Amino acid sequence: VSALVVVEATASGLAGWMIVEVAFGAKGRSANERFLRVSIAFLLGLGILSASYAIALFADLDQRIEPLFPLSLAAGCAPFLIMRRRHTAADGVPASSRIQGERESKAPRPATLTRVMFMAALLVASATVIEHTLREPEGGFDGWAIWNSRARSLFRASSPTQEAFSPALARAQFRTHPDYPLLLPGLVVEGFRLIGCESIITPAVTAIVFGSLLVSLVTFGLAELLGAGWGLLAGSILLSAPIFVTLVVRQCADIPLATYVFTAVLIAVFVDRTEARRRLSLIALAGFTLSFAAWCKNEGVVFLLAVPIAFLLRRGTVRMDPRARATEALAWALGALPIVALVVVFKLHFAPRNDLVSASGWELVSPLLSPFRWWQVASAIGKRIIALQEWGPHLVATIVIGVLLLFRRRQSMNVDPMARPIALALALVALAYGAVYLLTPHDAVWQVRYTFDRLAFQCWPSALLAIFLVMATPVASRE
Amino acid sequence: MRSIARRREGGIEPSPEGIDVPSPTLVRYELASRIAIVITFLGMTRSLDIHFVKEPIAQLPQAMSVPTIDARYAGIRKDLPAHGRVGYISDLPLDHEEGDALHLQTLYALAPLIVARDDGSPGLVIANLSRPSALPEICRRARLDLVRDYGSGLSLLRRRGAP
Repeated sequence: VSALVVVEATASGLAGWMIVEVAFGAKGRSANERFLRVSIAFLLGLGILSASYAIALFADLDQRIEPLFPLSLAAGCAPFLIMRRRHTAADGVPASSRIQGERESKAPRPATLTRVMFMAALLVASATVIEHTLREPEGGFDGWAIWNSRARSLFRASSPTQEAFSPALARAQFRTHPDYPLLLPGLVVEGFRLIGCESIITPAVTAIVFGSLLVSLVTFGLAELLGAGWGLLAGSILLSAPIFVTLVVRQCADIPLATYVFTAVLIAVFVDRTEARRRLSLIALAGFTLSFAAWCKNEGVVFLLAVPIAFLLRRGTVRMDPRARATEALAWALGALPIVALVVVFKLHFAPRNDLVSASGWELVSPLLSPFRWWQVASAIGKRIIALQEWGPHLVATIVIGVLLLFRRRQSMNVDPMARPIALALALVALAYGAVYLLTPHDAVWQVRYTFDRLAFQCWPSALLAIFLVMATPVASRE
Repeated sequence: MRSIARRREGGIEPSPEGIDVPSPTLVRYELASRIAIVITFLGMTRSLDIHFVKEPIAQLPQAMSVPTIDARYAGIRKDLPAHGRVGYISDLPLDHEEGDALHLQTLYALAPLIVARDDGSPGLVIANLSRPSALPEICRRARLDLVRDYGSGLSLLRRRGAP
């Protein structure tokens, strides 16, 4: 089984890399861009690995079949990759993706102090992750009670689909969302198979890998868009956020979810900066990446709807007619389709009913009309924001800087056009989460207390991206 | 608008002397750096305080020697079937945080065994107690016999009269 998992993981990584290369076009121009592409490919590879596991599980196929899924995907990408490369060579375009057009490395160069700050933040984050993983190797409540408990059920069961998804087990675990999808449990099971036994190290390593990928994507992504200096600033802020380290060591799925969402948003921003012929393939890639957020947690579905809607409504640097928007919508949908289909199969055939939708009709919507419930939720959220316990100054600073930039924008300043769709997407997500807090059948204060920090973190890297895009808008763009 | 992107992409503007200099941005890079340094410094301080001061690093070896969840349930796991259903009883209510967490620990350690609230059915029952001294009273009330006591409030019971 170990050798098979190695083949499957390698094939998944290869498929991820080929999908990224096909979508982006020719070879990466700079080391920075190549690192960014490898990070995206790695992230997609993890998602593909988990999806391959789930397909075999749901279809009750032999484990030995699993490597065939990513291998088929890689084989399917190969002709497109060859065509792309030939096309690029025929155009006489040099070996570069031209994501950034003419940008050369003349954006603000990071000062020594910025580099030192990034290294210090990296060192402190690494030390705290190691310290806390040694102290609590099983992770936090969410880690062991939700994700690793599910992974164990799937790994230990002789008939996984019947035992791990049995209604009786779901009833016993009703407070741990047994309807959550399987991205993390699937990866942990593959990790168990790889080393040939169960180990509490496997989920810890999985969490650290996703945390590292988020740092890599934020740093290299912003460096690619705005220059290395801005990238290092964003990376430092992420690494120094106490909530980031906490969620990694607690092995929460919010880190993978935030990583997939941020990456999809980043790719969608690249769409506006690349040549017209590459746009649709990049949008499809963004859709594919975003679909893994829905395969990660139920909240991912909210992002899966909000992000494409916001980007389809955007006013980018190029005027778009309705037909172009419809084509883009199709590209988002086609990119997301394979993993959305997997989520639908899971929800229809295996997952129990979600506890949040246990009520219906008037009983469900009546809390919306209760001013007391609004006050309860608003005050509970306010307390979480100003408490600084989990976040340190990061969340308050993000909100304050965001508001200040909003006021600044009113002074007839044209900010980066891609900041708006990100802000709109996050606002839609915030609306949806706010509605869930108001409608929850559980104690709303309890729900906010235990979920707000994690939900806010899901949005935070993307919010950082929007804020940095606005901050780095050249003042020469006053028009 | 196209020019915005192009100029942004360049991030540069030729100075009157013809030398490329970074173009000024809405928030100057130097100011953004200073803000980022302050936030990063405060964040690092907070992380170090949580992980190395409030939870003293000197106590890490001691913390590492505390049994994990699996260690607590290793004994009872050997005496239980790998699959199926067993009952669960506790002196902590399951709809409260502490009682719920203890029950979920049992589910995690013994997965995929279904460990469901005891409903009086015959068969094995796991007792997971915060006060081990309450065991005899619980056994008497719920008509259960002790099969084995694993210490620290964890024991395996069987319904009286069950095979």
